[in-house]
Amino acid sequence: MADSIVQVRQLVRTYQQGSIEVKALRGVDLDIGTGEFTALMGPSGSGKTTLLNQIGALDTPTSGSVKIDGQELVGLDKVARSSLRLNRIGFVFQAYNLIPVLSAYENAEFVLMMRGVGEAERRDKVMATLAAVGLAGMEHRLPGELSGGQQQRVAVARAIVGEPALVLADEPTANLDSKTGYELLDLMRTLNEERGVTFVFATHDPKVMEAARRVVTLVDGRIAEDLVK
Amino acid sequence: MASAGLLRIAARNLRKNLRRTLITGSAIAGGLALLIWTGNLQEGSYSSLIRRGVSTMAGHVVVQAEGYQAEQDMHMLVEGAESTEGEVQAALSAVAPDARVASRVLVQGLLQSTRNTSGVALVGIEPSAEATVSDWHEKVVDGGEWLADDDTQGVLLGEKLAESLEVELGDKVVLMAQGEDEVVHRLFRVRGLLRTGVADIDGFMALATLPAAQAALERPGAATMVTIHLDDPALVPEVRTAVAGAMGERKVEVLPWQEALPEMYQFTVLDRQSAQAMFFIIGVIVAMGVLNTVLMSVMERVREFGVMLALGTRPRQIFRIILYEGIVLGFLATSVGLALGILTTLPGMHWGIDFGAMMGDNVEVAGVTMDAMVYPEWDWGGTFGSCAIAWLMTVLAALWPAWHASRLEPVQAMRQV
Repeated sequence: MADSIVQVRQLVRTYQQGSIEVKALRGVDLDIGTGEFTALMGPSGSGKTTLLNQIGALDTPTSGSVKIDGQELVGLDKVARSSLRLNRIGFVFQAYNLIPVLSAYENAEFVLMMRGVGEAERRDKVMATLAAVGLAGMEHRLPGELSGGQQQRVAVARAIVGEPALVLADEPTANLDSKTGYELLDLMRTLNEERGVTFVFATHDPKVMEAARRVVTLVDGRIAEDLVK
Repeated sequence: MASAGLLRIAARNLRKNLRRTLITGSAIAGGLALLIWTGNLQEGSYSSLIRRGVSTMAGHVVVQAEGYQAEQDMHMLVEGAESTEGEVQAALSAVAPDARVASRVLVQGLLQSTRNTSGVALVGIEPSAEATVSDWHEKVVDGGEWLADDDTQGVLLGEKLAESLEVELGDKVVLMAQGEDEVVHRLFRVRGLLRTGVADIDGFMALATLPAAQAALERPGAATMVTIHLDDPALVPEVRTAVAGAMGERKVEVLPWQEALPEMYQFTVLDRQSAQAMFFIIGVIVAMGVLNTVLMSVMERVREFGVMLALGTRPRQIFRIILYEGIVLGFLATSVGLALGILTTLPGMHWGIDFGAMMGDNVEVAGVTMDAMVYPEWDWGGTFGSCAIAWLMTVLAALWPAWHASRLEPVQAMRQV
């Protein structure tokens, strides 16, 4: 296995739902190496998305440790977690989640702009990335003027344009038809192989599991199987 | 650099919800235009009131005998009115060379005709000088004539006073007043009648020349007040200082009109304050509307803010996006409101606004008639103050929604539909 970009140790996450305590993660240990193309799978409620949120610094654990590229996330304040997400992690969401008032170009540019990257450099990177995801010529379209597949490509462009250490994708193909889902997976696989981008998916989709080189199966908040193809 | 991106998102959001932006902006702009128009109208009416009150009842600055303002004793006079006028003129040459000076004497007594007797406030004036400082000469009813400077027997009577005395032009009346040592009787002939619309003036006032009034008090050469009239009322403090300096050790008091006519001044102050209270209430109502709109707009975008936070946008940057929306909306609406306020004020300044149907030809305020025709005047301080407040209210109304949005947790926010 390559150097670990993600190190999860004895991760526990419990939620309080009324008077009931829900144990979403029950002591997960996981290492993900640089350049991996890994799928987290499991039935609904198995803890996939919870684990992804922990790795993405979107949520804080009840106990345990999460390190991204050697940096411990537990104990970081809101601003530090924001900064880590901005600079080290890319996200692709199930519902695309583009900013509706910004064009494809501006959505892809958003992360670079928040980082304070200069305009010329932003332009070069955004144009190159949009071309890489097959959206050349569609830069000025608003999300509402793009198909679902195109919107998800913009989301992928937004996730990778800042060359993050890790891209987390939560059910990226769930809202796409089969053909478009395959095309998107091909795109991400290509980006993984050619650019070395690390992808971690939370998914139910057999297409993603088929494309993944490693499949980690979660059941009841624990890793039940870790299969490297 | 990130600021430009945040500002762009803010501006796009305003444009995306164009109808809502226009409605909210219109409420702000309309409210502001109304405030500006009302403020300018109010300023015009105050100016008219002050101009008329100051010109007839005092001056922008007055020189009176020491203690007269408190005592109002008609025997407390400025000695040597003519020489005092000369000294005042000399002092004015440096600070307000175009100022006009006129002396007046006030005599209270009884006026008798062959048929009736009435109380009277007789004002001794210098007719030529008086015509340059007040509009009494324009109030002489047709058939009568303004007094000549050397007319020591002529008198102008308020129209109602003449009616109660049952006298007409050319008739004789006798003034009975308390002179320096004994009661003085002095014969006058009615040269004309005055119609001002103010009950106190038309019913109880008479005008005679200065020497005639001085004779009635047995105080030749003295005056109740030496009045100074300015083209630019803003010069009052400097003029007061210069004239007070010129008066040296003399036993006189040099007062600005605000102190010489405290009732009228208080009226303008209280009226301004009540108007400001009303403006504040309007401002709060508009701000509540803006708050409602911005809050609604934030609640609709919770998911969007959740995504931005997930991508690494800092909470304070989310705060700024919404604050920028308030700033931009406030700026645009304030600009439109300012333009509308100016545009709606201009016709009134040119043609005047006739309140005759509402208040009759004249209305009396603090003993002064106000014209039914009001000409708004620029109150730039008030105008830009209103703009600043409207803008600030809009920005303040965005603060709470901005704070609310900045405290969202990305995971929970992205679950919102």
